[in-house]
Amino acid sequence: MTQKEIDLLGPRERFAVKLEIMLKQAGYSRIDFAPFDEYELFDKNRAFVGGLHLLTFTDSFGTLMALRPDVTLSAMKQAAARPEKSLKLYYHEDVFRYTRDTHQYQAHQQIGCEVIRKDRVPLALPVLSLAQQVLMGLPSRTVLVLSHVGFLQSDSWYQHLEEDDQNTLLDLISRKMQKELADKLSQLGCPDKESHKLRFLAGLSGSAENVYQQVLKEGLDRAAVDAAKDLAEKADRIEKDDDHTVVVDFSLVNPLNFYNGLVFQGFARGCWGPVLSGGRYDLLARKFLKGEDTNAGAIGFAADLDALSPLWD
Amino acid sequence: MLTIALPKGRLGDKVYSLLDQAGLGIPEMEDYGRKLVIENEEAGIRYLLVKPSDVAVYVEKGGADLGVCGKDILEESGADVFEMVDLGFGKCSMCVAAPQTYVEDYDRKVRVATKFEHIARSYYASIGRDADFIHLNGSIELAPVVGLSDVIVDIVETGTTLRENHLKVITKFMNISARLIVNKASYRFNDGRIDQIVRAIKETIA
Repeated sequence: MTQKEIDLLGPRERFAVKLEIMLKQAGYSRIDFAPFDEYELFDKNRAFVGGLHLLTFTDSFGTLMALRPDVTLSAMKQAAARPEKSLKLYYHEDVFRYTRDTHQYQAHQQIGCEVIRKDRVPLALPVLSLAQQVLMGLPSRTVLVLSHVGFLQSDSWYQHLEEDDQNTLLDLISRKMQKELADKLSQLGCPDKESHKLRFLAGLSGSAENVYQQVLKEGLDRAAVDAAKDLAEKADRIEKDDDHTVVVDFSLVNPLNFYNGLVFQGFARGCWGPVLSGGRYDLLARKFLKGEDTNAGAIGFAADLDALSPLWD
Repeated sequence: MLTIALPKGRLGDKVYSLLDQAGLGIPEMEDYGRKLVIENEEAGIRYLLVKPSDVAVYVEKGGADLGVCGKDILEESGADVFEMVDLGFGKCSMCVAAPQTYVEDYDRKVRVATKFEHIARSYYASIGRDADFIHLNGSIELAPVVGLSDVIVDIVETGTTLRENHLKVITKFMNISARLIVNKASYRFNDGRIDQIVRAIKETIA
């Protein structure tokens, strides 16, 4: 498509085309999917897709199918069946999600990318830099929020909790409910040191370097220091300016049975929620690539074109 | 301009008084009449006066950067917001209530009348009890009186309304109070102003 042809498109389509060009130039290959997949795929990985409100139907063979709430799982399934050891894939697909306030299912148009490696964990920085490039291409101020769930995954007390209690703590952390978090940790008998660490980190946000210095000053454990240091190093190497900033906020947490380490979200001024979400999900990759090298890993993100709609109005 | 959604009515007046003490007062609020938008450009603050049950929606969808609403509204709506301060007032409880003579019958589904269907469903799912839910918008206490339901799930403050309708509390399962909520994107773009406001409010209520 020529620049002249691109300029004829509306702003949303122009953004989509430019994003696809950006991904191709970064070495990603497009993959296409049917809009539905087997219900079982999402049922077995319901924590990854954030619950299980799915639009389902039975196909002509009697198999229960679902309109896809997420592309990553389908991408993982395909990657497991392909011979390549390393895959850089991008997609431009609709996902179908239930919206609680309207009690309706809605299609969300996403453009996303996945780096899946069967032999070792992929590097995070190139993917993170690409996400920031996407944000910097928007006609608005943006913030890229980085977080790291390693501080929870390495916590032996947390890992021994029942799944319901873990999910409750994640919910309280993600909503910045400090008092309720303290009460719940106390109710669960969390040791003082762990409780202090979890509450301190859950309430910690700001520039990456500032966050790292605060973690050092607080004398937290190795896992917390490593997580903060990792984020500071990455943030330092990502392009940014006054209108496109990078911050760290440990209250950003994703389901820990799939995500590990880095998670991130992008916000654009004028849009009321995150416009881009991603993270490292080596654990999901290893679950799908059974029999492969246990060093397998994956990282990716998706931009929600519908969440970006206010920018095109 | 920071936009704050206030619930109309008694709770809103109480909330504004707190925000005023925390440094967010504006002279225009003293006599707002029937206005729904009151702003002071110099202070960079705009207040929206909205139906209490709509505050969470305004904040979640970016119509307001911050707001105050009851925990009941938040839980029922499931709004994806930061819930940053329990303001400690507007205290009440979410309860199961039933007629004075009510005896639980585990042999059949319980019929539950409520305005808070999502909260009620979550509660009964948590106790493994099968239930039919009847959504009502007001005077919920009437439902078991006329045989529409066995029990109700509703907010109880002093218990006066229940007593006057010959109902009793069976179970109290959620504490409710007014909460300061923040839009997740607004939190990122206000250059720390929202954190300052949260700190100021916490200091005021301490």
